[in-house]
Amino acid sequence: MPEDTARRETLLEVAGLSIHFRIDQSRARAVDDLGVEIARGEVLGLVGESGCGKSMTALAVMRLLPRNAEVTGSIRLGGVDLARISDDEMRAVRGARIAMVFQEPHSALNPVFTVGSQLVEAVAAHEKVSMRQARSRAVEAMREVNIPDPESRIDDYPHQLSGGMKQRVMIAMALLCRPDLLIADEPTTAVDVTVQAGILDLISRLRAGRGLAVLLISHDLGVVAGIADRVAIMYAGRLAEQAPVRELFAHALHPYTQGLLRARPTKSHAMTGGRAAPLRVIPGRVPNALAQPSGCRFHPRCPAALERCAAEVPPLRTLRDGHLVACHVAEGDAPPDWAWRGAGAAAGEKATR
Amino acid sequence: MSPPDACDVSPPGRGASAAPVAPAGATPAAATYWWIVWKQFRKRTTAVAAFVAVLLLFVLAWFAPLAASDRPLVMKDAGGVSFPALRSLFGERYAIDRFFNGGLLVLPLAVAGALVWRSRKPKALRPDWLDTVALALPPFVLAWVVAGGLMMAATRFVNDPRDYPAEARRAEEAGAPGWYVFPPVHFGPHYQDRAAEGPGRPTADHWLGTDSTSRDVLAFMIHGTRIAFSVGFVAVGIATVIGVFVGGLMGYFGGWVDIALSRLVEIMICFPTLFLIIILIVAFGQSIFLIMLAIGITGWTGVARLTRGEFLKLRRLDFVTGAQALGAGRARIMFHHMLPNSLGPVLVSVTFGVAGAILSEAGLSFLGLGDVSLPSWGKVLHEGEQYYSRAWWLVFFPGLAVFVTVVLFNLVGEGLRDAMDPRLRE
Repeated sequence: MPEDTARRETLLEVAGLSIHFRIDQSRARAVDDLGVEIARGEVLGLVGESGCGKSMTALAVMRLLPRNAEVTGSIRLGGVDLARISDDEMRAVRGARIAMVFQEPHSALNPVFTVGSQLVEAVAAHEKVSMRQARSRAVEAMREVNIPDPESRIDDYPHQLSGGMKQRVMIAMALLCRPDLLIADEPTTAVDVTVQAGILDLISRLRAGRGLAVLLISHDLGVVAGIADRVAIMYAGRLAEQAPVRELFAHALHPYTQGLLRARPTKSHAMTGGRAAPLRVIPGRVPNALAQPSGCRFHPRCPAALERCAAEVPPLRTLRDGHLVACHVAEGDAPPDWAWRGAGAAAGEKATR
Repeated sequence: MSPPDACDVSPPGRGASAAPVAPAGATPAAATYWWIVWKQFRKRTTAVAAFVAVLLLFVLAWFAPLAASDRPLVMKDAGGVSFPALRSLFGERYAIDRFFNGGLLVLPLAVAGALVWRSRKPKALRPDWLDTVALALPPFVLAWVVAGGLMMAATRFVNDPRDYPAEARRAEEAGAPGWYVFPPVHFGPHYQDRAAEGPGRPTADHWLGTDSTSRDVLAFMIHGTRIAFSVGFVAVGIATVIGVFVGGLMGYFGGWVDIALSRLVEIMICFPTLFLIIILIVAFGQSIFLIMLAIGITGWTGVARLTRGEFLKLRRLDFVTGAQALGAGRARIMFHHMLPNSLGPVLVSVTFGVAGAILSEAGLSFLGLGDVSLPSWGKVLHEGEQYYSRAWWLVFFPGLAVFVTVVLFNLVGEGLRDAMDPRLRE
């Protein structure tokens, strides 16, 4: 288990990562001072609202950010700093050591080629294999991701496959060269719920089968709960909280995480159609990356904010075993949901002000 | 699985992968993007009619030496039976004729091949005739280019100075044994009919009249299709290659590459292209290939801008990032992944460009800057212009030919544009 930190071998180590974009005269701070680690065979869930910098982090690891991005900090894969290697060396890393699956399966496959030719290409990009070998590898990979009748589906064009099928093909393509790390950027957001379960199941099965490490990016705590070992919560470009998955769900310490957990619909919402108990949303909205709030970036929306929250950036503190949180007010033995107790109305007023 | 549009035919297999031929009916029709476009195109009656008319004009261009020639198809005289028209297919003077003769030779093979292929399909899967044409076109064009290239490289000009129509007349008058079977129009574009006085009005012999040196106008018209089509397609081919390459660089790299090349495009657009073409021709000679080249290297700006836009759009799509994420190199992403996806609007502009290039060549020839050795429509117009008050047929028929061809290409282009527009999809 990932908890016994003594035996784990760090695969990816992101430290002090900042991604800024210069837009005209101002600076968009997409990600600031982010640090996460993934061990071999571990699934790390990276959770946050849209625009909080999750996908930027993923693209930074792949070195696929647009050219106007200013990236600082280090990204180490097995001890090698990916920011310092040449473009050619980076190309050898992409696909072969780190692979990526995108959110939108409909645009992630090239519409003018059959899925087979794209799978074959993915093999040929890194290994010297014959056409026939590459093709049988492709069929094998499609079978591994549970695509029925792969021998004939391999000659289909992407638009002949359903969304879930395409996402499976994307996963097959990502895993063809047996990478150590799979970055899955919202892999289930664009597919429906039953397909989502299948895809998540597939990812956790592959992880178990071949010791694959996964960086699973999602806005949905529910998705992450099922398969992640550890969860990192991002808010407005910063890490808010990071903990083993059970720990996080049992003892969320950051007011933002608590807000996310509270915001999930429950059975009583379904029974009453939301009349008796309206969904408990986090008031306010995610700040603009061009004008991030001072101090703790969550303080304008936080029900427990103190004065120093607006002044000082909260450092990341270890409050419980393996549980990191960046909050001035949080305490290790706080009862769950402490920040939001009786604060609903007050926080609402505060945010709209 | 989701079966694509109402597609009753499986298009030809694509890609180099050694795909086993699937038993008919076992797999759903693999509908490529182009097949869907074709299906949409088919629903537009005007465009299909124009497409068929363009194909017929092509057929006329291929068969020109057998449709209008002063050499008999078959003849018998004191020397026995001979086939001067067929023989001359392998001894043409001009490269364009040799290239088209290559097409003429593979055309029967292509037709036979398509018929056999179609008849072997089970009835339920048999494509209709228009689809058969669409499916047979790409392999035929390939075979044509190969055969035409071989003809250009391997055949030499064979001079055949005999005046067959005069021989035939003399033989008939003298009652000599033998017979002559001429093509439907029994004058070639270079044959001067000494029996007629030029310029002569349309008669039973010369259906569209003759020019000042007694050459047949209809023979000009028929052989002129070869010139018009080759100028149209070669010039646009050159323009497209340059335009796609420059536009691809602009769209893919962006930044200062885009800025620099965009300025180049703007300079080219500001340049009066007609004068540039005239300067090139005056400086380097009035060869038809120079005209093609001149039209081509001045006409790529539109394609470049279209391709730039497409590349800018594609650059942001996940499959391009995905290809990068799988470790594909820059050239592979540009030419393998992005280029085929950007060709739709380019193809439409190619169709319009062919019409424009035909018009340009006619204009140049009309100004007396064309290739004087070839029977282009513009050259006939140029000669007719001197006689317009007494020989209307020298102006009217070539003008009509240019007009009709240009309209046909524009109609095909419009149909194609609409067929590619998903909002107009039926």
